[in-house]
Amino acid sequence: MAFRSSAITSSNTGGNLTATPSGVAAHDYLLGWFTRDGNHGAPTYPSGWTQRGANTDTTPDGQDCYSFDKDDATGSDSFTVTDGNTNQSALITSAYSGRNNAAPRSATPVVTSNTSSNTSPISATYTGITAVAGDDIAILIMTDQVAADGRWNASTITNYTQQRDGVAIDWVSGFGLQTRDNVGGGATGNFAVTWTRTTGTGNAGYRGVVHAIASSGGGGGGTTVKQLAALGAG
Amino acid sequence: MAKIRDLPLGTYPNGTVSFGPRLFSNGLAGFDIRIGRCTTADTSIWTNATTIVTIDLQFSYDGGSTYTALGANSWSGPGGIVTSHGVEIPETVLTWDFNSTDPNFAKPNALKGQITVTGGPIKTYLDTTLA
Repeated sequence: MAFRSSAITSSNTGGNLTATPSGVAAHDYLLGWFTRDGNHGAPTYPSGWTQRGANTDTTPDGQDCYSFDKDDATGSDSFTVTDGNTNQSALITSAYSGRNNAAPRSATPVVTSNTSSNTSPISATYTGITAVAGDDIAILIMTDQVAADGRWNASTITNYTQQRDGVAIDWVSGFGLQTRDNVGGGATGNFAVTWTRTTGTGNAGYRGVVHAIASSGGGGGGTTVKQLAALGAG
Repeated sequence: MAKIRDLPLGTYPNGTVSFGPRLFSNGLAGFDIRIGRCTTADTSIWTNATTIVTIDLQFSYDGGSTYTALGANSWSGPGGIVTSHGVEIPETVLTWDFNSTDPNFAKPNALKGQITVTGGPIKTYLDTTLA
């Protein structure tokens, strides 16, 4: 049980964005990732969602980003981020099955910030997290580009799956989600991503948030333990 | 990239206009929607910040038999002149992309949508460009 699905949308004039992952079921864990050009504060999240990671750096260009989540999906959840700003914005939402709905964060989400104006290709390092065996890891990444027309894309992190990579919108093009299911316990180590400007001009900084999402079994093999218990073993 | 003009430039009253369904035998990788908006060069297009446009998209993964729920994938926003870094934006551009790694929902094979205007009427146009 693991990453289920994701959805992505973006707008060059802000507004209210809704992107719903397909197949969301009751008791999924839900994770959102929002960015907006400039520094205007957090948007309004859907009912039942809570902001976890945030970065509001003003350099090299200035771009806000926020991770937010919902511990226990109903299966008919709202995925609408309400935003009164008209700056370029983008939203990724994702769903994970078999997670610990009572305590889904194995560790406090880890925020990375790089405020330099880096030349493409950028060798980015995202700070890792301390996982518990059985966790799913979600790495939410973005660039803060200094020119409108740049289009930035990320390399795939070793042993991870690139679920989403980039939007074709000025100022917020570098925006992604990479995941890995069922990791071993302990420190993940840092994550290496190469950001490449595939078209356009200008440099970029980068940010990100790493989430460790706990298994419903409370650790590696937890699901197996539950299954054995159901069979009368142990 | 195939651009489709779903709404020709014209004045539209409050209410809802539907488009589609459109079928994609090889699946749809993504698309964008462009809506003409107000600039100092033409203040007649989507002039008022009190005029709200809502775009609702519905996707099908079974050839159009069933669709995602209305409101599950949408955007809404106001009119009026919008600038970014001092430059006026002549079109609202919205994107949706699909996930080729997803085992169950890689690419939809049908799409339909509706556009709702409140606080109108509105003069504008709407284009859809398929990836």
